[in-house]
Amino acid sequence: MERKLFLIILMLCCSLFIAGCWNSREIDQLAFVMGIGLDKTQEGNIKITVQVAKPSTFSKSPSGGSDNEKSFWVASSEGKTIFEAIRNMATFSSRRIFWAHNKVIIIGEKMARDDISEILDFFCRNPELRLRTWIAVTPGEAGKILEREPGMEKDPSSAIENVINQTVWTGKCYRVMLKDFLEDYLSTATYPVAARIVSKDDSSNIKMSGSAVFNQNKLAGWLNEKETRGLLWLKGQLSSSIMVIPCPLDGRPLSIELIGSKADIKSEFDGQIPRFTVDALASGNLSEQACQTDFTNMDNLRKLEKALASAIKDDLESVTKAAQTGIGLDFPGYNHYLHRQHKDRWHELVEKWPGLFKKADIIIHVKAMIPRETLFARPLNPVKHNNVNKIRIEASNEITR
Amino acid sequence: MKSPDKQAVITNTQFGALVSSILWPTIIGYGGGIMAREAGRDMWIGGILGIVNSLILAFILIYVGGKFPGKTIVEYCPKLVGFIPGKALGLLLCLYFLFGAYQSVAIYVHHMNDFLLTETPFAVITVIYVLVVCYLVWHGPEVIARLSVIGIAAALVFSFLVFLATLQEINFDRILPLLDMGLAPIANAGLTATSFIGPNILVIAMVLPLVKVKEKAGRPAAAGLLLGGILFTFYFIAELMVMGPHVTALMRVACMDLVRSLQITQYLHRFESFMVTLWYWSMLVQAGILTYCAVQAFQQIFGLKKINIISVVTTGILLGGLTYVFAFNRTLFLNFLEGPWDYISLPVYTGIPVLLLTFCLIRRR
Repeated sequence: MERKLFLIILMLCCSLFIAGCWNSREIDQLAFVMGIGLDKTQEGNIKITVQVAKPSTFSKSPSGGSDNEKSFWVASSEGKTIFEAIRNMATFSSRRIFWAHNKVIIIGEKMARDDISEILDFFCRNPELRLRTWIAVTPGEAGKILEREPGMEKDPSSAIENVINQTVWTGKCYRVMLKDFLEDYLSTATYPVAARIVSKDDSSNIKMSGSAVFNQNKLAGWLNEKETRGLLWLKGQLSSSIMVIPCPLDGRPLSIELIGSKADIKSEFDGQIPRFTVDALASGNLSEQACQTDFTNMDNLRKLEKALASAIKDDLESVTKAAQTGIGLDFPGYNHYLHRQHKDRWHELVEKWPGLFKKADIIIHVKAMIPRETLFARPLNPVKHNNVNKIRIEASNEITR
Repeated sequence: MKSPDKQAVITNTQFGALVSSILWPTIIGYGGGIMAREAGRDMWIGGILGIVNSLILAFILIYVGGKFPGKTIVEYCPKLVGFIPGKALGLLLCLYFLFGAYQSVAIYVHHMNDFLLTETPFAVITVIYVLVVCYLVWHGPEVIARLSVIGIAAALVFSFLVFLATLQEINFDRILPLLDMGLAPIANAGLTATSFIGPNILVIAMVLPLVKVKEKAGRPAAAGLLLGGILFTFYFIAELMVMGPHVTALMRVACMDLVRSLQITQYLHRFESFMVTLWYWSMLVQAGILTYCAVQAFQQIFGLKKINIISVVTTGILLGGLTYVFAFNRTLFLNFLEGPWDYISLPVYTGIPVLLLTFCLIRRR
């Protein structure tokens, strides 16, 4: 009896607490932020632009609601700090801003050149935001990117997220999540790199092209697509890319799809100066050839492999040059190898690393293999015995001999 | 009003489940960040040191406890070291268990209040959780041990999900080079690890008399310690590989930040609440058994046999009060765990077993 009484009292007490919830957030009262743009204004304030999804338009039809209605709403607000700018949004937003579904943070160049530490601090502290959010920098104004209506997707942020996901196939952009960017930012000798996003002037589309390198909290410089591919090599993040190289026999373009890439980096000391040897190993498929060279001939294939190795070496050298003499920062992360392979020596020279890195000797060796020519056993050569093709084949065979 | 638990008996399997499920939840909560600040990328080695240390201490406690069948550490202390010093040690253990329980409750409340129920008042979460813990204590160690089987099953599911989610994020380079900062920081991290799991090791000496086959208690205890140790060490490695040592060291509650950084393919993401649900069972078992040990120790100092409602309510009020007063300010709580706690905890979890073993050997028991 006592126990029953106790349980009844306990249940009554508990019912006091379950009558409502402090944290209740009705879905129709929330504004789901899908993308954030951050810019610096002329007055030195922070301008935050949010792209908010309109859930009603998402549910109407697979193609995204009625034709006239946009699936998203873009709003901007300013403040001395990011948090103030966000709170200022409440003065005109009819719904409460909800960050948990944010996919991307885009930073405008002016803001990036000024200071990004506040951005990292705010977005890592906020428990609603996820550390998997993508980070990108745009040479223009970040807010403008979020206003672009994508061709295929319902909202710009989903389009940007998908484009970022697609960059694994191009190898032309260094994609990075907030957590990985932050790790490099906090690291003693590595400099963070973010994706570069640009809006294509001729259409509503955006493009992921190149990378943005930071020196601590400031944008230090840009990398083009070639340098970015070199960077992906060195970071071990190049899963696929297309290398367009001239045919070693007649100069016409060939497309080789990289299917495997690996770079082993070894470090040693030449007196006080560190020396790095990069041994890169690539394998690719011959996916397209405009020339008529017969690459089933092993000698021709060897020449093609050499040409591919040379093109890859060019990428690696271009990013190393950008790091050592252009931007002048060890953003490729050569210091990791020195740290791992000579940890005692590393702790002695860590303070001097920015200067030492510029003097470091970096030797690059590339070996390339083309094990497959996809489905073809011979070049696409019509049986009509076109004279031009004949001449080309003969010429290539002559060179081979 | 007497406790419903009359003659509690814990099977050896439940004993093993109890030991393992109380070992990992708090250390992954706050320990990860603290140890990363101490030992950087080698923090996981500190975790392994903590397990080794715990195994040694657990065997000492089982060995000494075996000399006093049917008696808890609080009961046999006066017999080994003398009446007054023995009672003083009992009081010290009581306070240590109470502090361990407070730490467990505070860490749970912080997880809830800082990540999931951010607008619910701290006091409300504390009161509700302490009520649940007290209800569990009231039902006694047998119920807690049964719950620990659920706890460890949930812990395994938790770890499996973390494993699946980290697969695409693993970066081995982040834990290299090994012994980067030398041995001293690792030893320091090992000390932190043991100070987090110290109260849980001493639980063995309190529940040993309840174990069904006492002669074979060593095996489940060792298995439980190893399993619990693997769970938290695996989590540390996952934190390092996914977030990196610097981000882990930046965070106050690194384990939640790891969950914020994970997803299983594109289909299961933002699963913090689900993971907390799995983690919760071990947390509840830990808070429950530590509170039970504090209540039991207090009663045994004064020769009281059965747990009574006044002791449970008083301990509950103390637990809630401590949490509200000392854990509401997260900086104060973190600074205490990161600083003085190691040095307060070390003499208790290491000193008492070693002291008792010494007396046991001197008196040739």
